[in-house]
Amino acid sequence: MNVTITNEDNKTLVVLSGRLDTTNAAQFQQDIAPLMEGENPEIEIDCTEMEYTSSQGLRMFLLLQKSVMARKGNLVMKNMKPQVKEVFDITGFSNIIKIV
Amino acid sequence: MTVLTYFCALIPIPLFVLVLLLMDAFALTDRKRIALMMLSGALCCFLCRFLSFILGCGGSLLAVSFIEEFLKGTIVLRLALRRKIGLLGDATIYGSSIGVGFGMADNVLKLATGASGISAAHSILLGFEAAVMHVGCTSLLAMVLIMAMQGKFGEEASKKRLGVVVAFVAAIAVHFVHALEPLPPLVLTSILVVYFGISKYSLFKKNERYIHDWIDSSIGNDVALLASMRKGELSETNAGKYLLSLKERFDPEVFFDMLCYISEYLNLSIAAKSNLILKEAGFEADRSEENAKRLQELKSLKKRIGASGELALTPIVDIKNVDRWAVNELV
Repeated sequence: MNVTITNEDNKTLVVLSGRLDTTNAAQFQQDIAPLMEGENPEIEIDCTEMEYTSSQGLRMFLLLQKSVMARKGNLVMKNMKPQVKEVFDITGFSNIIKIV
Repeated sequence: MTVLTYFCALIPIPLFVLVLLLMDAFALTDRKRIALMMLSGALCCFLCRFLSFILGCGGSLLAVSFIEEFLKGTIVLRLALRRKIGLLGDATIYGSSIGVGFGMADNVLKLATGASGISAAHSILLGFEAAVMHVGCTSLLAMVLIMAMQGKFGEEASKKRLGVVVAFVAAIAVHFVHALEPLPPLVLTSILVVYFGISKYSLFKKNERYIHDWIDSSIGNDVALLASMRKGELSETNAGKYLLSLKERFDPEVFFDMLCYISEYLNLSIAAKSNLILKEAGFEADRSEENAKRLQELKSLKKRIGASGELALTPIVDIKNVDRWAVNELV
C-alpha cells in the first residue's frame, strides 16, 4: 500500500495505491495521522489505484470522516474501482463518506 | 460506619465490569442485559444460600463451589443457547456481570449476618475477594463455554458438549481452590486482581483480532455474492452454478425459498459486520426496521427450507454460531 499526501492551497490530496489490508493497516493509520489535525480540513482521497480494502481499512476511513466532521471540514473519496465501491455501497458506508 | 463498610465491600465489584466495558472497543454488549445479568446473579446468590441450607451442605467448600458455579453457569449457558452471546468479549462481560450481581448479594448477606463490625480496609478486601472469586469464575466459565460453542475444541456436537462440561468443571475447580485459601487472602486477592487485568486485556486484544479476521474473511465474499444476486448475474458465478445443480433435488417452492434465504442472510450478515465496523470507529450502529423484518423473514425461511436445505447451502453460506449470533444481535 502506497500513500502519497500533498497539500495544495487549502486542500489535501491523498493518493492511495495497492491493497489496504490487515498487514498494512497500522502503517496506514500512521500515514494519515497528520490528516486528523487542523481546522476545516478539505481532504480528497484518490482511490484510482486502490485494489482492495479490509475492514480495518474501512474503519480508518470512518475514523477520518468522523474527525473531519468534528472539525467542520470535508472528506471526499474519488475514482474508486467498481469492486471497491461496491463494498462501500452495500455496507452503507457510502451514505457516511462522500464518494464521487 | 456501617454505611461505609457496605460501600467499601460493594464498590470494588462492579468496577471489574466497568473496566471490561472500557476495554471493549466494539461496544458489543447491551446495557439493559448487563443490568439483567447482575440481577440474575444476585437472585442466584439467594437461591444458592437457600439450597445450601436445605441440603445442609453449607460447610462443604466443594459442594458450595459446585452449587454456586452450576447455577451461575446455567444463566450463561441459557444466554449462549439463545445466541445472546457469540464472542469472547461479550461472553466475558455478561459472565462477569452475573458474577458482579452474585458477589454484591453475597457481601450484603455476609455483612448483614455478622460481619458488619469489620473495618473499612477489611471490607475493601472483602469486596475485591468477592469480585475475583465470582466475577473471575463466571467470566472464565463464559469464555470456555463460548470457545466450545465456536468450535475451538472441534466442530462435532460431542466435542462442543464436552467443552461445555469443561467450562463448568474449570469454574468449579477455580472456585474451590480459591475457597481453600492456599495463600493469605490479601496476597491471593492482589495476585488475582493483577492477573484478571492482564488476562482480560489480552483477551480483548485477541477478540479484536478475531473480529477483524472474521469480518475480512467473509465480508468480501458476502458483498460479491449479494451484488451478483442483485444484478441478476448469480448464474454466471460458481455459487450460482452450484445452486443450479441443487435445483432438481428440491421442490421448486423450497428451492425458491433457499435463494431468498441466501439473499436475506447476506443482507443481514453484511449489516451486522458493517455495524461492528461502525461501532469500532465510534459511529452509531444502524439498526433499521427493515433489517428487523429481514431477520423475521430469515427465521421463517429457515423453517421452510428445513435442515436439509440449510445443509445443502453450506458451501455457499456456511453459517457458524458466531454468524447466527451476529445477525441476531447486531442488526
